[in-house]
Amino acid sequence: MDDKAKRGSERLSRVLDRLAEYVQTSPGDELLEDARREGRNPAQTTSRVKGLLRQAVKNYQQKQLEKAQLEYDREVAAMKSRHVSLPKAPEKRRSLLAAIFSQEPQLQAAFTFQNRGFSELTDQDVENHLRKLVLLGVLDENHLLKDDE
Amino acid sequence: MEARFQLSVPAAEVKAATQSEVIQAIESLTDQDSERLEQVATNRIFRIGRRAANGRTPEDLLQEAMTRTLDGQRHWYPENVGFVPYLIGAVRSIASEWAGHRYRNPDSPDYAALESQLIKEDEEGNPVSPFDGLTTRAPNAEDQMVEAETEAERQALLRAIEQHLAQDENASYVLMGWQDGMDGPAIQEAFGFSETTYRAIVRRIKRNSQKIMEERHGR
Repeated sequence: MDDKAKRGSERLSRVLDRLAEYVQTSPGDELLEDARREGRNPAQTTSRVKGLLRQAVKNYQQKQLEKAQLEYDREVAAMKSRHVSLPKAPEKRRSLLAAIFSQEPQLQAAFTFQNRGFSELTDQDVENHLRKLVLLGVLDENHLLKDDE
Repeated sequence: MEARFQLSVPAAEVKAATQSEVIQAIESLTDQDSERLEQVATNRIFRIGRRAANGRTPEDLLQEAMTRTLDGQRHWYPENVGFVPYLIGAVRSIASEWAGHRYRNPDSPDYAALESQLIKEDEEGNPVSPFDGLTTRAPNAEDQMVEAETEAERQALLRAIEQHLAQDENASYVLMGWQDGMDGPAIQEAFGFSETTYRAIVRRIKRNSQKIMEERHGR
């Protein structure tokens, strides 16, 4: 690129910088008046700008959900890949979990969801919770085996 | 002599906006805010040029500013600054960042001059270039062709603005002053414009150049 072209490019940059300064500091009603004069509808501009910002929020939230789902899937896969010896009978597993929650009530709050009491937990929920407690190191697996004997 | 003490008062903890505060701010945008945001974003895309923008639009620029705010790369502190000035700052900064991704050419005399301005010394007094450690690639023939094409477009845009305002003598003076690096007060003094006259001229230039940019942007 020759010097002349470079100078031309730099000159445009300077003009645009001054115009940006003006847009940033000029009274809002002037901007709207000019927009109308140029045939633009300010309400449509607002709708477009808000729409694309909302879309950015939505995309971000969607990515966060996907990330959380991926982490959950990884967690579930890790739980499934590790063999955990739990009591064989569902009733025994349920009473074991009840005993743990009774001893450590704060765990029940963490493991049972809103509007869902202990009695509403399915056998699968109970098994998953016990597995989690073993994987988290809260529950001693050897102790479990002894209890199941 | 009375001893003077400077008390160091810890700054109060300023909290970055939560996601719901950001959403609330979007919903509260007025027509004036939206117009300002869109115009600044359009201006910055033309400012960095087509090559640096790499196909990205003013809309992409606004969305990128929003994404970076949400993912914590940029922080909006509502107690310190309003949402619109914050977003404009983010837009300007991201556009500069995009522009900075242009190829560096160490063979260029400009590169050497710029590097020498930015050079620092390490603890032992050895010069350290801010560009050390970055991958350097001199532009190839294709790069140079694209660069030349981009520059031709930029010159054409400047010419279009100048021609559009050719009949407006005062606007032509202001445009000339800006291109020579003069600011508002310097132009006012040089051409004898009052503040009100100067602002009215700038408004005319903005209106006309905005129209030209929008036509080129295809809106």
